[in-house]
Amino acid sequence: MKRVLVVDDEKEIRDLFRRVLETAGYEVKTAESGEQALEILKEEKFPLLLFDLNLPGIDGLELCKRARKIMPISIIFAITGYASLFHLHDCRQAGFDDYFIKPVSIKTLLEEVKLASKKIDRWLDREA
Amino acid sequence: MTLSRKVLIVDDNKLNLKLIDLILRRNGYKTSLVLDSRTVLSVAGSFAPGLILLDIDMPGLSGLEVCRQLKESEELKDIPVIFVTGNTDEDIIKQAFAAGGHDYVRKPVNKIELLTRMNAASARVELIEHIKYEEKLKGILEMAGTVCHEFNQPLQVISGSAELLLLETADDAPGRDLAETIVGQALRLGAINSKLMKITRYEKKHYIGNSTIIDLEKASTTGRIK
Repeated sequence: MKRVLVVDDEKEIRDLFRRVLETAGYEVKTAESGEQALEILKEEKFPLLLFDLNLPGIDGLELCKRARKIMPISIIFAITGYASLFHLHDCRQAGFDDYFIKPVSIKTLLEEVKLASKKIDRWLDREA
Repeated sequence: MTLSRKVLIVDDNKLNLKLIDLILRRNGYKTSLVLDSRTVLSVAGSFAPGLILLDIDMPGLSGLEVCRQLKESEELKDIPVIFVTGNTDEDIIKQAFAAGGHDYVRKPVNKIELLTRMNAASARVELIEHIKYEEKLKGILEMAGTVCHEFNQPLQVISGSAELLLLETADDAPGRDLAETIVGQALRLGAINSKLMKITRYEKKHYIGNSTIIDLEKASTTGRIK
């Protein structure tokens, strides 16, 4: 079962994504801040990560840079309601694989997570 | 009529008042005339001038005292005051600037000198008005941006929850059509929000009564802000 880490400072969003992903068969862990996410990443590995960008403390861009160093073989998505503050260029530079603007369609999100999951499988097969 | 072309002229001498009034009106200024210096504050409050031409030597309340009172008024303190004086005493000129005067014109009034000083002060008022407008516009755009951003969070929860409901219920379950409507409308709001955040040029259209609103269909997200 693929593990996904969801980081968002809004509980309703965390709960929504958790439920959506769990319904689709993923094991989900959530964090409400970048700091909390980094603590979790010290102990656990996640092939798929969804980060909100406008987080209190360490923002999503910085979190992505640090998470990339810990887990180079992973797929990290940015999901933001603040599209004009965080541009695609900056997200790609920080190491995000893709970028979604809220409100993102759940159907689209699940399709992209599924594709990412397949990609991760292919990478890991090659590594094995 | 822009604010910078609205002038309040204060002089206890009717002839001087009429002369200055004539020169300014012939050169595109809108004027209001005050003979009694004690009424300057109330007239300025209602006429809302961009500039005040103020005689210094007046009976009752001198121009210097009127200027001090104007500068103490929260509403009127930013209006530039140009003194008019026949007094060439340096001390009076110093007092005029100390009272908050912006400039002065000598009596007898010379048309060229008056217009040159008035036009310079008028240009300054226009510049300040432009800066204020830009600041106000910036504030409105920032506020609109914040509102749009904040809207996206609950929109995500609404559309996502309704989509999840669709995923979790059978195709023939009652209420599916309502969930589909919620998803569609929430995503539509998201698209409007996204466009609002990027608008740089817009046209207005008639709404209700004398009011206007932005025509979202014609709003552009490219080009210079306008």
